[in-house]
Amino acid sequence: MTDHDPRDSDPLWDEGLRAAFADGDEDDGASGPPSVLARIEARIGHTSRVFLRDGDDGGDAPILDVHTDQKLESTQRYQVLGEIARGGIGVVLQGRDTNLGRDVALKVLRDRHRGNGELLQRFVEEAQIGGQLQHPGIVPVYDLGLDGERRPFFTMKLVKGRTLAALLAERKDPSDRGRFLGIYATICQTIAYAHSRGVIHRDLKPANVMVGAFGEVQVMDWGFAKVLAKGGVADETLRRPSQAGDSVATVRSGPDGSASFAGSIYGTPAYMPPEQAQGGVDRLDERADVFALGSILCEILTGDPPYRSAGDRAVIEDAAAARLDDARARLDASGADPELIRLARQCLEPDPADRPRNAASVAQEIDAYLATVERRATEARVEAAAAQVRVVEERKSRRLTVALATTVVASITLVALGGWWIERRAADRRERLEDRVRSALLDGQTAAGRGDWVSATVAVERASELAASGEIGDAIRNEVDALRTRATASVERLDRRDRLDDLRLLDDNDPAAVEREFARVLRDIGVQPGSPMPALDDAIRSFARSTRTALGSVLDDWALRRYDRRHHSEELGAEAGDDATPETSVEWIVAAAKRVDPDPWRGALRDAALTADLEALRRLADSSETERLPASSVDLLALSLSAAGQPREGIAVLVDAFDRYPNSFWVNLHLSRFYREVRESEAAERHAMIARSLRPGSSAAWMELALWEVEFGDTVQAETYLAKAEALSAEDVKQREKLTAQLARKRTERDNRLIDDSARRLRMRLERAMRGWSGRGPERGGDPNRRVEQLEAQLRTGGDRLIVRAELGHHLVRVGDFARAATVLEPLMRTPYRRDAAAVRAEALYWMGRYDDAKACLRDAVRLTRRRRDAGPGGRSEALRRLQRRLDVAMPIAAVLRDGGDLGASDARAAATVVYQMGDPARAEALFAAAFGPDGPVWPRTDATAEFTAACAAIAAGLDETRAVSDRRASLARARAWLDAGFTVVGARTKGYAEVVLRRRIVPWQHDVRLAPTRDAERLDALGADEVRAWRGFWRRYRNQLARTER
Amino acid sequence: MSNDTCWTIVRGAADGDAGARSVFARTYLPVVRAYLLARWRNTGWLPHVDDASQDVFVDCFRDGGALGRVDPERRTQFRTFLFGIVRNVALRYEERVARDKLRQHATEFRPDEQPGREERLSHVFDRAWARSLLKRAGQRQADLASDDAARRRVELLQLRFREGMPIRDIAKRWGEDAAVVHHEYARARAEFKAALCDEIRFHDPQGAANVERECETLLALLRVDA
Repeated sequence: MTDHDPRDSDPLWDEGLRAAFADGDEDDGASGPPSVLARIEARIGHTSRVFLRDGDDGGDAPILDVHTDQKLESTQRYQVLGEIARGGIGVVLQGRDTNLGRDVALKVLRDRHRGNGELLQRFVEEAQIGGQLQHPGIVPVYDLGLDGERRPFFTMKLVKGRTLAALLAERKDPSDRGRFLGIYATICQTIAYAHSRGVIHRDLKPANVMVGAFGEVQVMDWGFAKVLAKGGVADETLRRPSQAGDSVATVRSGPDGSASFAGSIYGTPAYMPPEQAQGGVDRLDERADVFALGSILCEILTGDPPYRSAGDRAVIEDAAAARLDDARARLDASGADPELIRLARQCLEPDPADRPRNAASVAQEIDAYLATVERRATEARVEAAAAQVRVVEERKSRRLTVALATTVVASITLVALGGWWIERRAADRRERLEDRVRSALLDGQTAAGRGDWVSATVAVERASELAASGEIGDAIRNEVDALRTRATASVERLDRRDRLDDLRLLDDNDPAAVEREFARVLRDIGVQPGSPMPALDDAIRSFARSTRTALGSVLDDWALRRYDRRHHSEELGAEAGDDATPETSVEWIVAAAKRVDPDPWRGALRDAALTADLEALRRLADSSETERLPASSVDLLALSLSAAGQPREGIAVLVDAFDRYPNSFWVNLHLSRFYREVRESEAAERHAMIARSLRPGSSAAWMELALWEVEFGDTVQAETYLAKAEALSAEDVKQREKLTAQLARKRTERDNRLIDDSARRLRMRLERAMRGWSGRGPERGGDPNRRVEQLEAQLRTGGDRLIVRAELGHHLVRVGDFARAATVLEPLMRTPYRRDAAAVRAEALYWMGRYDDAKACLRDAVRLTRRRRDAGPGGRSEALRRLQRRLDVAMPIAAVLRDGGDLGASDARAAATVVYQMGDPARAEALFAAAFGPDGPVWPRTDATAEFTAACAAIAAGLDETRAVSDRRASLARARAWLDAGFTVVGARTKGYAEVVLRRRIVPWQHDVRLAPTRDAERLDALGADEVRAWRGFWRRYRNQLARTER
Repeated sequence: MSNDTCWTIVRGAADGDAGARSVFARTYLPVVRAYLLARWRNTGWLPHVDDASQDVFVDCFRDGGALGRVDPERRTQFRTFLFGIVRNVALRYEERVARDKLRQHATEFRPDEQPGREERLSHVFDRAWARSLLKRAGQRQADLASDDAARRRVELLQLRFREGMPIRDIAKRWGEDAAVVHHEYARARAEFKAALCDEIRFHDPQGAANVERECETLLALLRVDA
C-alpha cells in the first residue's frame, strides 16, 4: 500500500479522484461553504487581514445584535454582462447581482496572476480597503468571492459617469476651471478621509476620478493603496515582490504614458512624487498623495500634469529628478488666483517635508479658497445691489433738485422728463415681469430636465400667462414658446403612451367592447385601423420611439387576443366571432405591428405566436438573440408562451428578462401574474412590489397587489389595495387636469369613462378572485363550514341570489359535500354564472363517482372557458385539464372494476380513488395500501392528494359499523398515518412554500365533512377512549403546526 | 459496511429490514434520480421524477417486488439490475400516458413528451453510477483513516482535487518538503484505489478476481459521452 502507485499522473484516475473529492452535485452542503478568505488562504498559505484604524467621525456606532442567526450563503449570484476595462492585474466587468437585481462592477484577478501570491494578496487588500473605507467619494465594495474557476473577485458599486481626465481633455481652455475646482475639493476631502483611516492611495490621477451625471465625484482604483504602519510610512519593503521591475498597467491606465507600475515603482509617473519615482516605497506616506493632489491641481490650472515629456522613460526620469521648473512656470502663467498657484506649488515641493502634511490640509486650503471666492461673489452681488440703490437714490435726488431749482427748465423739460419717467417705470415693470416669467420658465426647464412633463407644463403655462399679462422681451418670449411646444408634444406623447398602456390592461370579459376600445384609441392617436400601410407610415412618422414601442406592443396584444379567441373557438368547435365582430382583420394588425416595429426577431415572434407554433416560440426563447432584445419583446415572447399553454416557460423567459431589465414595469407585473398563477406566492409578491415601486401611480400595480392578497394573504389588505387602485385612477385625472385646458378637456371625458370602466372591472375581478374557484379562494377566509352556513342563511333570508348560490357551491366542494354542491349549482347552468358553475359542478360530480355527468359538465366548462385569460397551471384551463385527465383515468378503471379485468400496478392509486368514489371505502383502503407499498408513502412527493383521499377512504371504512371493531380501529390508525404522510409531504418544503401549501392542504382537511366524525368525540365513543384520545391528539398537532406557520 | 455486499443489503431490504432499506435508498437514490431527470428533461413528465423515484423503491421493496426476484448467484452486475428496474418504471409511466392519449384518440406528435434517447440515457445512468461509487470510495477511505497521518492523506486529496492546489503549494502550506508530500500523495492515491476496489467488491462480490479491470471500467464510465 505504501508503494508509489505508477498511476500517479494517470488522467483517468485523476478524473476519478476529482469525482470522489470535488464538490459534486450530490453535495448537500450541510457543512456550509468555507469563507473566501479561508479558501484563498488555503491556496497561498496566508492571506491579508486588513483592519483600518477607526475614523474620527464622532458619530454613534449602531447597536448590533451579536447573537443574530443570519448567515450569508455563497451562491452563483453574479451574472457577467460584459467587460468594462482590462488592466495588467485585473479585469473590470459589468455584472448583475441576481439576488438584489442591481448592476455592479466586478473586478476579477487576471488568470495569469492566479498563482502570484503577492498580487493575490494585494487584490484581497484592495477589496478590504474599499470595503472598509466608507465615504461618498469612494466606490463601495460590496462583496469578495471566488468565481466558478476559483478566481477571486470583488464587486463594487457600478459608477456611471466620465473620468476627470476625459472632462479635462474636453475643456477648450484651461481658464475654464470653476467647476473643476469643486471636483478637486471633493477629491481632497475624500483622500483626507482615507488618510484619517491610515490609507494612502499612491496612484491619484484624473483618470482615477470618476464624475457622475449628477456631479458626484468618486476616487477609483485603490489597487495600489497601502495601509500605513503606525509610524505613518507604508510598510512595503517587508514583503516587496521578487519580480521588481515587472510593469503592469492599472485597470484605468491610459495609453498616454501614464501607465502605473507594479514592483519597485507603483503609481503613474506623470503625477508621482520624486520619492515614489525613485522606488522609495518604504518612504511613502500621506505626502506622496499630497504631491499627486498638487499634480491634479496643476493639470486643472494649466491643462497638463507636472511632467509632460515624451515617452514613459523620460517621464519617469523627470519625476525621479523632480524636474518641476516647467510646471512652476506654467502655473505662474496660468492666470489663476495666487492662492491656487501657491497651493499647487506647495504640494509639488520635491521634499515631502515642505509639502502640506496630508490631504486634510490641502482640503482645508482649497475649501478656504472656495469660501473666499464665494464671499467675493456675494460681496460683488451686494455691491451691485447697493450701486443700483445708489443710482435710484441719486435719480430721486436729481429729480427733486431739478424741480426746486428751476421751474422754467422743469416746464420745458417736463414732457421729456415725464416721458423718461414713464419709460423708466415701464422698464422696471418689464424687468420685474421678466424676472417672474424667467422664474416660472426655470421651474419648467428644471421639471423638463428630470422628465416631469406634467409639472413642466404647469410651469410653462404659468410663464405664458405672465408673459401675456404684459410686455416682455422677444428672447424670453421665444424661450417660453419653445418650452411650451416641447412640453405639449411631450405630454401628448406620454398621453398616447399611457392610453396605449391602458389598452393592455383591458379585461377580455367583453370581447366586442375590447375590440371597440382598441380601434377607438388607435383612431384617437391618429392611426386609422385598416388603413393602407403608407397612410399608417404617415400617421406614425411623428411618433417618438417610446410611443412606437408602446403601439407595437399594443398591436401585438390585440393580435394575440384575436388569435386566442379564434383558436379557442376552433378548439371548441364553436362559431368564431360569437363574442366580437372585428372591424379590422388580424392580418392588418400583424402587418401594422411589423410596420411600426420592423425588428425581424419580433416579426418572427409574431408569426410564431399567431400560429401557436410552440417549437418556433421555444427556438426564439432559446436563441441568443433574446439577450439583446428590449423588454417589450421578451414580454411578448413570455405572453405567447403562456398563451400556448407553457406558463412555466414564460416565467423562465421573464426571469431572464428581469435580470436585464429589473426596472421594466411590464416584466415585473407579468412575472407577478404568472407566479401568482403557478402559486409561487413569494416570487409573485416580490414582483408585484417591484412593479408598484416602479409605477406607484399605476392602478394595475396596486390591483396586482390586491389580487395577491386575495389569493395568499389578507382580504382586508386586498380591499385597501383595491381602494388605492381605484383612488389612483381618480388621482390620475386630477393630475392630468393640471395640464393645458384643451388637453385636460379631452382627457377628462375619457378618464371619467375610464374610471367607471376600470372601477367596475377591478371590482369584478376582485369579486371573482374572492369568490374563488377550485381552491383559489381566500385561504385565511375563516371556517369554510361557517361560510357555508352564512351563505345558506343568505339564501334563506335574502332570496335566491345567483352569486350567493355560486359561492355556496364552491365552498361545499371545499368542505367535501359534493352531493349538495352538485344540487346547489345545477340551477346556475342556465345563467350567466354557468362558466364558474360548470367547472365546480364537474369537480363535485367527479368526486361523487358520476363520471358521465362530470364529463358532460366539464365539456360545458371547457366550451365557456377563455383560453388565454384562464391559462396557467393555477388557472381555470389547467384545472379543467387536470380534471379531464383524472376522468380519463377514472372512467376506464371504473369500467374494468365494473366489468372485471386486470389493472396494472401503476394504476393502483387511481383505481383506489375510483373505488372510493364509487362508494366502496374498505376496498379503496386496501387498494391504496397496496399502491403505497409496505412502508406507506414515505418518499419525497410533489402532491399529497392520494394520501388525503386514502385517509378519507380509511376513515369511511373505519366508521362502517358493520365491520369488526378491530378492523375499524386499524382503518382509523391507517388514516392517521396517511394524513401524517401527506402532512410530511407538504411540510418538507421551504418555509414559504410550506406556509402556502399547509394553508391549502391542512385547512381543508380540518374542515372536510368526510373527516368530521374524527373530530367529533361522540362519534368515536363506540371505538373506545383510546381512539378518541388518538384523534384529539392528532388534530391538536395539526392546529399547532398551522399556528406556527401563520406566526 | 465492510462485511456487507450490495446483495446482503438487497436481501435485507427485500426481507423488510428498515436499516437495509434506508442504506439501499440512500445509496441508489442519486443514481435513480439522475437517470429519470435525464430521461425526462424537457418533457412533460419531469414533475413525475419524485413519484417515479418512489415507485422504483416501492417496486423494489414490496412483497414479490424486484428485490425479491434477485438471484445473487447469477453473474449479474447490480448496476445492470438497477438500471433495468429504473428503466421499467420510467417506461411504465410513459406507457400509461400513451395509453391515456390513445383513449382520447389523440394522434398528434408531441415533441415535448418524447423521452431522451435510450442509448444516451444508459450513459447518463452509467456515469451517475460511477460518480456514486467513486464518492462512496472517497467516503470509505475517510472512514477507514484511523490515524492522523491517514486523515492528513485524505485532506491532501481534498486539497488537490477539491481546491485544485498543486502539490508544491500544499507542501508550502503545510511547511513540508515537497518530496515528502509527493510520497504521501502517492500513498493517498493507493489508499483511494484500495477503497474503490472494496467498493467494487461490495457491488460485485463475484467479480473480485478482476477487480483491477473493474476499476478501469468504472473510471472509463466517467468519460462516456452523454
